[in-house]
Amino acid sequence: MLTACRPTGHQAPSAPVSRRGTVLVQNAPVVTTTGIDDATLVAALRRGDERAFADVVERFHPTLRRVARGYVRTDEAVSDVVQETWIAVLRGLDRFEGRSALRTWVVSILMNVARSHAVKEARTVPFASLSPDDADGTPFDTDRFQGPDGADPGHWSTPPTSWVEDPETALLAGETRDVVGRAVAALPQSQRAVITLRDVDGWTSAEVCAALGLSEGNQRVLLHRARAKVRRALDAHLAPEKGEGRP
Amino acid sequence: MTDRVEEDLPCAVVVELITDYLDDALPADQRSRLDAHLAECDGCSTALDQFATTVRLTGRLAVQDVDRLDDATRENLLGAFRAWVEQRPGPTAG
Repeated sequence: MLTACRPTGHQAPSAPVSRRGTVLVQNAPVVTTTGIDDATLVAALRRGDERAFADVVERFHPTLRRVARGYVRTDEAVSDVVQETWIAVLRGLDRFEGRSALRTWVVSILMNVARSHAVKEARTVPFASLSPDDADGTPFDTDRFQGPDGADPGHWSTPPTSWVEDPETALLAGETRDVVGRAVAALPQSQRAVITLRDVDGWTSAEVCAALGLSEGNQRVLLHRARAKVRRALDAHLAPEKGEGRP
Repeated sequence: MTDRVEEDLPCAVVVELITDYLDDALPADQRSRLDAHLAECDGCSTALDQFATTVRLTGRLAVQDVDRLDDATRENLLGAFRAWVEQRPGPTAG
C-alpha cells in the first residue's frame, strides 16, 4: 500500500555521517501542502470550486509526471497519462472516501491509467531501460581504478578530488542548479522518475517502489545510476581544477 | 577466518554501494566493512561526500526546475473541470 508522502519520510533512522562529520542525507523535503486538509479540498472540488481544482493540479501535477515516467516512454505519453488521470479523478471523485490521503488515491488512479498506456505502448515490462547493457551508469570510469596487475587491484588509481567548499555560494548556486536540472532532464525516464521522487519530492524508498511497481533492489539500482550521472555532471562543474579557470 | 586485507572491499565495489549505504539498506556486516573502508580511504570518502552533495543539490531543485505545469495543460485541465461541473446532476453537499 502506498502511504502518503509525509515530509518526515526523508529522515532515515540513522543517517550516515561522513568522516568530515556532516550528516550525509539532509534534504529538506519540498513542502507542498498548503494547510488545506483533504476533506475540505474534496468538498470544494465536489462543489465545483475551480480555484480548489487549480490548486490541487498545481500541487500534484509535477509528482504525477514523475510517477508516469516510471511507466511510459515518451514525454507525450507522460502528458497523456497525467491528463487522463485528472479526468479519471474527477469522474471518481464522488467515490473518494478519504480512507487514504488524496494524493495516494490520485497516484493509484495514475498507476492504472499508466499501466494501460504502457500496454498500448507495447511496453509490457516496465523499466525496459534497466537492461544489463545500460553500463553508462557507473559513477566513475573504470580506468580510475587499478587493473588486475596493479599493486592494489580495484583500488583507486585516480581518486576523486573534493569539490569546491560551498557549491551553493551565491556565485555558483544558480549555475549549479542548472547543471543538476539539465542532468536530471537528460536521464532515461525510469531513472528520472526514481531520482525526482526520491531526491526532489523526498519520497521514501518504499513509497517509490509502491508507486512504480519496483522491487527495492531495482529501485536502488535506478537511483544509483541516476545519481551517478548527476554526480558526473556536477564533477565537471565543481571540481577545483575546472573551477579555477572559471570566468 | 579472513584477515584484514581480504576483508577490505575494493574501491570499485565501494562506489557501487554508496546509494545502498545512504539508504541504510546494507546488511550489518557489509555496512561495518564499508565503514571500516571509508575510515581508511580518502578517495572513497570523497566519493561518498560527492554523492551526498549530489543528493542535497538535487533536492534544491524546485518543482518548476523539473516539471513545470505549463499554461496550455493548465487551461486544458480547467476546461475539463468546467465540463465536469456542468454535466454533474447538481451541486453535491460536501
